[in-house]
Amino acid sequence: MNTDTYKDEIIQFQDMAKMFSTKRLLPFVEQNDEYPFSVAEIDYIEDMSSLGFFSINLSHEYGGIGCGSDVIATLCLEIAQVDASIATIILNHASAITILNMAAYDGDATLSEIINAGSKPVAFQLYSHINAMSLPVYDNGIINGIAKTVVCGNIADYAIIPVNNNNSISYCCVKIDDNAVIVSEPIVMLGMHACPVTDLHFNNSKASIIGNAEKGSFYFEAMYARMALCAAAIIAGIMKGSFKQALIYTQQRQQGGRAIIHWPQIQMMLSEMKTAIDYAECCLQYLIPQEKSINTHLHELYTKSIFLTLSEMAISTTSIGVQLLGGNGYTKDYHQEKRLRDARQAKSFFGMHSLKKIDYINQYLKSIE
Amino acid sequence: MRYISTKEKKMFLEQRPWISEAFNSLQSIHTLPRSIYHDVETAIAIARKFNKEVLEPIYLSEELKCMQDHNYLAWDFVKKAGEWRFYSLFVPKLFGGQGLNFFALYPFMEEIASVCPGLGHIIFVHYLGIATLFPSMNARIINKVLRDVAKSEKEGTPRLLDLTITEPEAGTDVQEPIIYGKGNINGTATKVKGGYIINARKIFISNGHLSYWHIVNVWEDKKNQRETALQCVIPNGTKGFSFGRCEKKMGNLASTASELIFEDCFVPNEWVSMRVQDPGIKNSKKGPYWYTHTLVDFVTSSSRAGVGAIATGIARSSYERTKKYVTDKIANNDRLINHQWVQILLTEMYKNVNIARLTYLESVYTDMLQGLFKLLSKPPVHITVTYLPRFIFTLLSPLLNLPVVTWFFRKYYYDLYTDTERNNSTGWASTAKITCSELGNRNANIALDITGDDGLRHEYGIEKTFRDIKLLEIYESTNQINAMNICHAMVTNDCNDVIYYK
Repeated sequence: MNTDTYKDEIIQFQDMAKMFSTKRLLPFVEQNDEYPFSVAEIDYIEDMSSLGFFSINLSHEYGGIGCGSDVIATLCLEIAQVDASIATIILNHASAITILNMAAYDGDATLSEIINAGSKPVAFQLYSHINAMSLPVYDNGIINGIAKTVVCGNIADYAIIPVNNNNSISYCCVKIDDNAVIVSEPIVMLGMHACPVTDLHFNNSKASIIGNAEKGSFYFEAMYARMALCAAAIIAGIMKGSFKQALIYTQQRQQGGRAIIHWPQIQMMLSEMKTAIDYAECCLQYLIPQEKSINTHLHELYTKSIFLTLSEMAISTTSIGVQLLGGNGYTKDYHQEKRLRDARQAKSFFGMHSLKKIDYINQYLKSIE
Repeated sequence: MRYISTKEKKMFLEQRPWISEAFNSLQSIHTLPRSIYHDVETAIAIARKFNKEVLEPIYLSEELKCMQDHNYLAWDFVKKAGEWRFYSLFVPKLFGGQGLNFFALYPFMEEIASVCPGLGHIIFVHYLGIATLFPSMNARIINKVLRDVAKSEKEGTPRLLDLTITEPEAGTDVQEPIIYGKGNINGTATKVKGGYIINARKIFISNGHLSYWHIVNVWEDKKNQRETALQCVIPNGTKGFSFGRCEKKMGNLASTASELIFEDCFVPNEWVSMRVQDPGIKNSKKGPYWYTHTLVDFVTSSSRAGVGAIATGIARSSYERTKKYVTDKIANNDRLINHQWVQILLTEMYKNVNIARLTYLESVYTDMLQGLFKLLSKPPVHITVTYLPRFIFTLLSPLLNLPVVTWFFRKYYYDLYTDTERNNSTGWASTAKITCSELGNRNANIALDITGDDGLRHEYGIEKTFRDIKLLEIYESTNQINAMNICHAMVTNDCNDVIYYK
């Protein structure tokens, strides 16, 4: 694919995401945020599937589009401005597909067995770091234990989960509709309510190791390196949505006899939000076109660094976004409190923030050795 | 003294920061009666027992009920807290209460909030209502309302108080006296024969649907907000008063934020607790605006210190729940608590709790010496209200209906009150509110950083602290408005001709 065609493809996805967000998501943001936090009853998944959102990084060989994380990041950035939960469904699925792609590269045939990998979300533990999880135990094609906090566990047919395989970590594929897999009720989480999370309980459930059995940690690290860009894009989208709402509100809300946007204190707060967003956009504009150079250590470090930095900035930015609306910001009417919750939850993509920070500096140290 | 003369000492102590500004806890050591310490011990012990027996088993399930139905009202909890006699626990015996000192209310709030600030707010906001009624100094109404609180609590049908002030178009405009007169207010009181007609739509009224006595703040003249404030007491069932919607909020779900609607609601004169256009106030040396400003500051000085205590409680729950989590959790083949990064972050959380507590306690000390509680802290008054048996106050109760009692209280709390006292009290309260809520927020974030995906799940009670703490940066005026209040009261109070909100 030449560069121009590729750019066109990104723009096409961007336009599609804008339309999907405005027409399909925006009117239902509040409704989708309500208890019991399960997207299963609604037909977004079908729409997303027909728009090709689940086949972006699936290779042509398996019926996918074969694009990289740059396209996914562009898509997520647009959608997250309206509802980050839906962008998270895409990120979660793309993370699972990334692992399956790497396994396929190592000669694994699982991808060809998952017939709907490009049309239905694959369940994955997006909020967990592989080194901080209690893993189900794998033994000779059977697993026992619990996979906690599995994203889309209640709507997917397959789950890609790490297991303890003779004291080493491997990834395996589990068919969820197997009778030996019990799917919990949706878990009540802090944010991303339209992106359901469940626990999967395995009782002598059938599972197949995917890819190289010794390379579970490697797959996780490589997946994280690729997907950090998309996670950063979701976070930037949340920040942008929060700023847009704050700007509209402060222009309309009158206190002290004038619109509060004319208060210098308010202007300082808006400025703090906007500079953070500009920083995020500059980083993404630099990194998204560089995605093809994914093999370089520097690019990996940059994307992880931006994800870590933006995930901190997003919490203060969305917190200001709530603050600027005062009591109204704390209610569900303006979606600002949702953005704060979502930003906070996005910080836990790929596991504990502190652990990711430690991993980051260790990766840097290795790169300069 | 060898190095300094008495005259020099006096001169140097007149420099900022003044002793009365910065050393209230130190002054309190020799000023406050010893029994206050015992009251604090008692209040903490009662709160901990209540937490263990009542709050801890129900707080998560009650919150889920609120998530399922935002109109859910926690009446069972209201009754349970009433069985524990919490609504009269800190009401002076003079007014039919159990007479635990107000100082003890703050550590009590910290304890309750360390489990669930949402349910806790049902108790706290009741005292906010009391703290709003008290500054009216209308002894007759205070006595009548608070004796009803004690009686209804005893009968098993507690009647709570709330503070009714915020309007849809006026938040800061009705809460900050410095800005009075510039905003757009709508809550009005129109004089008619025998009383007032109230027309107002009030929103974000904590506990509105759960309360019986609504302490309503409105204005007689929308165009003269500074000099026409009127406070009245409106009970449930009054003609023209109705409940509106319950807000859908991010956190503190068990404490409803209500809309209260007053349409041509008649309030007889006997339920007007304070009117700054009354000749006694209007013609006083300090005038109606000073009275209004001081009334608001009496309320916020006591309530914002309370916000500090609640925020400290939330900071504590983040810390305690995280500590429990890391003690059991295995990561990288080792218990999480053995990781140095966890130890450092946990230590920061512990440090934040202690800084927050010191800050709100300093604010309470200032209130005891220079704020709303100063009269009750004077040893002769304190000894009388603490040690005389309750029946004596019941016998003396009719005397509180005499106008001279209200006159005396207003003389003491308004005419003899100084700008410096008011500034110290309100300045410290805002300092506590900002500091504690920010530290609470910091702890909630650290907790989620440490606990990762587990912390995001409702069942651990950790994500809840993140949702709950955010409110504390917003209500009782946003932290930004509180910063302006500190500026006005403590930073620029010795500068000439400073203009605010320019």
